[in-house]
Amino acid sequence: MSKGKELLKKHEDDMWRCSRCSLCKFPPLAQIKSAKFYSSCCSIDYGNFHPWSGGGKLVMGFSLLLDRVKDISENMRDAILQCTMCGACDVSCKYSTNIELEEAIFDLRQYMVETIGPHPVHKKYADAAEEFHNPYGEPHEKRQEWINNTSAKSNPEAKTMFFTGCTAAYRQQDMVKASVEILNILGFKFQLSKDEHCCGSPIYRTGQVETAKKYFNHAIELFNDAGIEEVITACPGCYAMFVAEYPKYLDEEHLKMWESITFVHMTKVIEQGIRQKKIQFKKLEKNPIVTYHDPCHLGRGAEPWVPEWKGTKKKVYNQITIFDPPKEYRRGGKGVYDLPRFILDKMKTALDFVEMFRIKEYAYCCGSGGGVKAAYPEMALQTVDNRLEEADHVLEEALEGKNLEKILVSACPFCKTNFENGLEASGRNIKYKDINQLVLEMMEK
Amino acid sequence: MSRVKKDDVISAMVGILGKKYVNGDLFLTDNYAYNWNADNLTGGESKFVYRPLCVVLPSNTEEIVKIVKYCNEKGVQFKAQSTGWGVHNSVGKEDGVIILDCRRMDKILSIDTKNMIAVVEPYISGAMLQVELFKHGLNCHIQGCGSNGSQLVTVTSMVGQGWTGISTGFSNRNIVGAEWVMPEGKVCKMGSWGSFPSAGSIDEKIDASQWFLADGPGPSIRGVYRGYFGAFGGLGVFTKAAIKLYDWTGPNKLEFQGTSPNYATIKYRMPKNSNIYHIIWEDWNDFKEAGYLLAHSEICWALCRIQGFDMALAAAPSNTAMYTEKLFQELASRGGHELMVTIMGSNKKEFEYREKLLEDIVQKTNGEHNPISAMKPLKALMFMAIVKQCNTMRGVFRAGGGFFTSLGALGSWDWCVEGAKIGEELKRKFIDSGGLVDDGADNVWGNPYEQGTFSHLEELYMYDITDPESRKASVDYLNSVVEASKKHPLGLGLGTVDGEGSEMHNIFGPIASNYHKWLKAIKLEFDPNTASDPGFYIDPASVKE
Repeated sequence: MSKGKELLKKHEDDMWRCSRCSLCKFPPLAQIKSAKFYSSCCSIDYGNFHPWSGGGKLVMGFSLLLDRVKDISENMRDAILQCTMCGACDVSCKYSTNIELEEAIFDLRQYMVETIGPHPVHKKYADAAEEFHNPYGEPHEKRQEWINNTSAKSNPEAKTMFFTGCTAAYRQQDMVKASVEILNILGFKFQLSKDEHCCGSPIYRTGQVETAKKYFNHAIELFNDAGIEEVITACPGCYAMFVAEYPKYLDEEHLKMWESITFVHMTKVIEQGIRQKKIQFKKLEKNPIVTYHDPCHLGRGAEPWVPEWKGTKKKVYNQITIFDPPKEYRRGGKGVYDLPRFILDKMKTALDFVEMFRIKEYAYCCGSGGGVKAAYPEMALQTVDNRLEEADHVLEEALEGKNLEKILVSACPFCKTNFENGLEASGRNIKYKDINQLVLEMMEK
Repeated sequence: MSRVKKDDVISAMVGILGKKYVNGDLFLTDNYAYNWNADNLTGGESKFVYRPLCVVLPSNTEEIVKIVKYCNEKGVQFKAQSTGWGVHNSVGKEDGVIILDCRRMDKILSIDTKNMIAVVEPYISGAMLQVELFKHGLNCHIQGCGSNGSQLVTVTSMVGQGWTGISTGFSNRNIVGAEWVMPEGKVCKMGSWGSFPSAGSIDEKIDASQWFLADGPGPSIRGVYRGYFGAFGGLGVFTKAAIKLYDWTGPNKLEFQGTSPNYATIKYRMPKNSNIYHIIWEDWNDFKEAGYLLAHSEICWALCRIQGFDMALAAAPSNTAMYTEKLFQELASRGGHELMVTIMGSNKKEFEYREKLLEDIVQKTNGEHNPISAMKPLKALMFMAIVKQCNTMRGVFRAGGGFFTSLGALGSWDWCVEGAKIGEELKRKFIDSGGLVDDGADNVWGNPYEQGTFSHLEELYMYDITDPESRKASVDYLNSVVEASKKHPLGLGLGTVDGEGSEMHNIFGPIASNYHKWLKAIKLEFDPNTASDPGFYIDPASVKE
């Protein structure tokens, strides 16, 4: 059996188990709060045919494994890749089953890359990263230039490193500038490294796993060589890679290095600043209405890594398989959900907060992840408009006819780009703000 | 036989719907050949059955009419699906049928709170409708398979019973109107709605108050298009359905706390004036008597047989937890014949009266409250599972990945209990030989409806779908169920009909009033070209006279 087929074979039992119930298309049934905003899967919302769903992708893998479908056509490739890998299907499925749906979808993507190669656009990003250490093909020497316009400085003695991330460094400098301004206000001493490379996320998540692995080692060695004990980042893409994906692939030596580092997202830094009363917020007379979008990589994707289960499977009651010791599942509920809400709650003197219907581990994706924004921009725009429609719906309801500003807040540079593009395309009367920028703006200084 | 080439069919479909909504690629048609219970139709060999010729995504009735007319003209078959769950959504032959996947038809068209009627499109699930109805103090019947299923399908096309059958009736009873694209492409506006002059005009805004009666035009044709089991998608396409609604005395927003897989009502609180009870009878006769008395008493909001084993599976966060944690073990091993009763009162006095009457019936019939089920967290979880119909998958599918139903049909409560006894005996043999999950053998699920005038109990079973031996045991067990249904007067079992329709009808028709001849006549009359895929309904050419 080829290495590629082995990737599929791993999931054969789950391929049998899928009952095609479509729960992967909705939040868990008890969590559906609106008939209009009932979907959890932006892939099926775009493609509509069943293969675009989580279960449909599992079945696509089964068709390939059984040689019922021998070749991956361009349309099939699109059905595999028109998915942001947001993990919502996995959360819903695992409420009721023991199927590792997201892993199977990811391995199908890997199988596709190994069989027909990556999507040309995704390959372009990987090639650019190879040459410039960032997928945008920007000059590496300009990576940390953004700090020049801030009051923060890199401190080579610090045990903390601020990891900028490619998108923040080259495309969304405002949010990263706000982050380091906050760190500065809080008195953090941190390093910025000129040797920072891409964390590997855009390459990894498009199925180019073998190519991505070297970025994992590079980052870990960078932290280790600089004597870093804590890595702070404002980018959920990088954060999810550090806490959930890296340890799957690191060898023993690098894993040991990884274990000695604490990874922190900026929302944690802000929360601590608030608790220590170093951050206090203004009192406004006319509060804007705010809602919050959970980035997939800060939510479901940031649930910490669970080591591969090792033990004995045994059958009980004749035909029920159980795990000894019990298997631990990643079900998406342990991501970073409370921190941004804590921050927004503490800002209630400056804003009124309202939740959307699909939140936390059931949040609907913004549509930019998994290589979708790059290869399928029309899908990214459709998806972000779905999410904006939901935001607009709850903001309008909360307004009760008052003339106040409507703000959508999130905490991710990819979401920021896509929401800004979506707002421009739709002309909706909502402002997008990154949580770091909002905090800085509303902070009493 | 199709007289046209696949490419021509696809071109025609693209002409009706646009390129984005038509696909005949192998990877896609193969995907639509996969479904639950396909393994039982393939001798345990595969989860795939026949591939459709292509799949299309219509968004309205007009498009469906065009597709259906095209199929009649060109000798191509069609079959519609909504949420697409179950092998009956598959097609009856390879490469000759167009699947109409109706997922783009996902609107609640109207809710009439005064007359208690909702009009929905095919892709509205129980969960979607219910969440909107709660806001108005209303609820709907949801089929037992789960609230992920289509509301339209349960009333128009499939047999289906839910936990609340005692207070909400079952699938057949809850239709109060429908729009039906008949197999030749004519649109039948059924019942009262059809008599309004505006019905079906392009600009019509759907008004649920007009959809108060499903019978007619002329003599009722409700029995024709759906009847006892429904046509399983084999008799045209239903594009709109009006559904009967019921009072909901619970809160208008039922919110839960916790993260997956541990949800429960907030602080494990039941809504005001409500409670849930799991009551056990050691003797079948006492159980039977209690079922009648409870049904006649009109005190139950939900009344359903659920066995402790399934309850433990539905409550446990994993199979491993179900086996290793004391609470679930006690629940699973208690034995006896149980009924889950939910009481909801519109005020305190009503609730107290109902609870008192329940206790009276329990005492009279030698019942016993299951002390474990009285634990607050478990009670809250079961309440959530019943109201939202959200734990079916883990209650039965997660165990071995393989699940199906077998003996059991709709009839009198007495008759259902007799069937349950036969089912238990039959299944025990397959459990003893190790092929099926040992759920204690007596695992009937179902309930009395409508004050007990009508009932159903079906024998559930589970198996390890990843294990070829277990799959084989499932197939053998189902074959034995067919034999048992012939030997005993148990009617057309739910587990026997979800297969190749005509084959089963040829077996059961001659021993059940020759109903298959009636089905054949209906199919021929309404679908002379057999354009509507007969695979899971009835194929006139295969009916033995």
